[in-house]
Amino acid sequence: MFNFKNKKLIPYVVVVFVFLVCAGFLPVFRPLALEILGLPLKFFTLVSDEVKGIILYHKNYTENRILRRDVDLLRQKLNTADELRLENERLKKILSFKEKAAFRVIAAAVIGRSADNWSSGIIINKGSSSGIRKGFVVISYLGLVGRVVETSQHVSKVMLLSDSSFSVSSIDQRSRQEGLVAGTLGSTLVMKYLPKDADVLEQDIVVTSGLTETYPKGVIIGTVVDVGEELSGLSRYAVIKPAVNLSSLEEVLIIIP
Amino acid sequence: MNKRTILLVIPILALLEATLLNYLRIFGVKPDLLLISAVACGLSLRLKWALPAALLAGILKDVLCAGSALCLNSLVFPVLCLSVYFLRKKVSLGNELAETLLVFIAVILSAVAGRTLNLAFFGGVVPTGITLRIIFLESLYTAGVSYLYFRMKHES
Repeated sequence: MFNFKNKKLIPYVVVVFVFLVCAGFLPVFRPLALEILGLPLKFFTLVSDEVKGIILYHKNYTENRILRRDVDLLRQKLNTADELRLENERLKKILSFKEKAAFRVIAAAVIGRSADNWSSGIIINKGSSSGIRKGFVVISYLGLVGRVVETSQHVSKVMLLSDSSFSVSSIDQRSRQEGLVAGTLGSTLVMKYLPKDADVLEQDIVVTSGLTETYPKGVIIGTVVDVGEELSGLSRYAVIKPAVNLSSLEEVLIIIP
Repeated sequence: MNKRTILLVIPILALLEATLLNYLRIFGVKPDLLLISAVACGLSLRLKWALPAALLAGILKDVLCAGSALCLNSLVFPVLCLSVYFLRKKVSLGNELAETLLVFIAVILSAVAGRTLNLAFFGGVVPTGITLRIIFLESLYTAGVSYLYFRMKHES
């Protein structure tokens, strides 16, 4: 089938090889390509959101009515909370208590998602010009989202915690049992390497242990929904439902160490 | 389709795959438009246009994937395109069903190659059930979409 004696093929093979070396394997090229795709991606995201709005019109309409009712209720609660906050601030001042932020964060919008079915990732609209570097941790208000795997000047790629290559050292908030949470590409995560007598129960909350580099301690990963035993019988595993709905992320926060 | 149009359409397909197609997922799986374009290039273009087009599709897919440190698609897509090109020289692929079947096989081959290389180099283990679900649904969904394209192509 592949007749390499045919000299016509040689230039093509050479061109492909050079392309591959230049394009595929040089790490400098990919951020550049990502940067070039950044602007059209933002445009396509806008169009996609509009299309989504049309497709899901009735659902959005119903949801909107329910949310408006909730907003009224929450406004009432907020007023009460504001009073409590002001009182709290006054008392803190009296006690000279210094308020410390746990970590500094940068907010970013999601402008795209992984193009294939074998990886779980998002593309965000902030890059190295905003101080984002490879390896930075990404969270949302609800919990851990993933980590930055590639940055260009204005765009970054984030590997979500459901990706099969993702893993983070974690701890059961109740029993302090340590384990390693890894992605499965499915809707749940797996907490591995739990000893046979591990005290992990359903509904337990799993948080980051702080042992993995750059991951701050105590970020919520999810809730245990099932506990099982490995086939070998030597260790157990826990199935975790992520705290964050990874399929509907719109904004994320990047932790600046 | 005109060769220059195909080279213009590929980046648009890549952008669609990263944005709009996420709303058209079935059981968490979306069709691989870039792979369809690589196979379509192998089926309809001359080699000097088909290979760069397939390579472009592969590179764009790698750029827009989160876990593709290996640049796997940049390798697999030209190989698939080349295989389809030589196959079309040997076997008559005159109807859309045969072309759709080719896309179906190409998706499976691409997925199996990807999983094998990923496992060998990075050890990223995906549970068997999820692997089979993605391979099965992705190949069916992509083949279904490609059928529409090939049908339109043959009718026009």
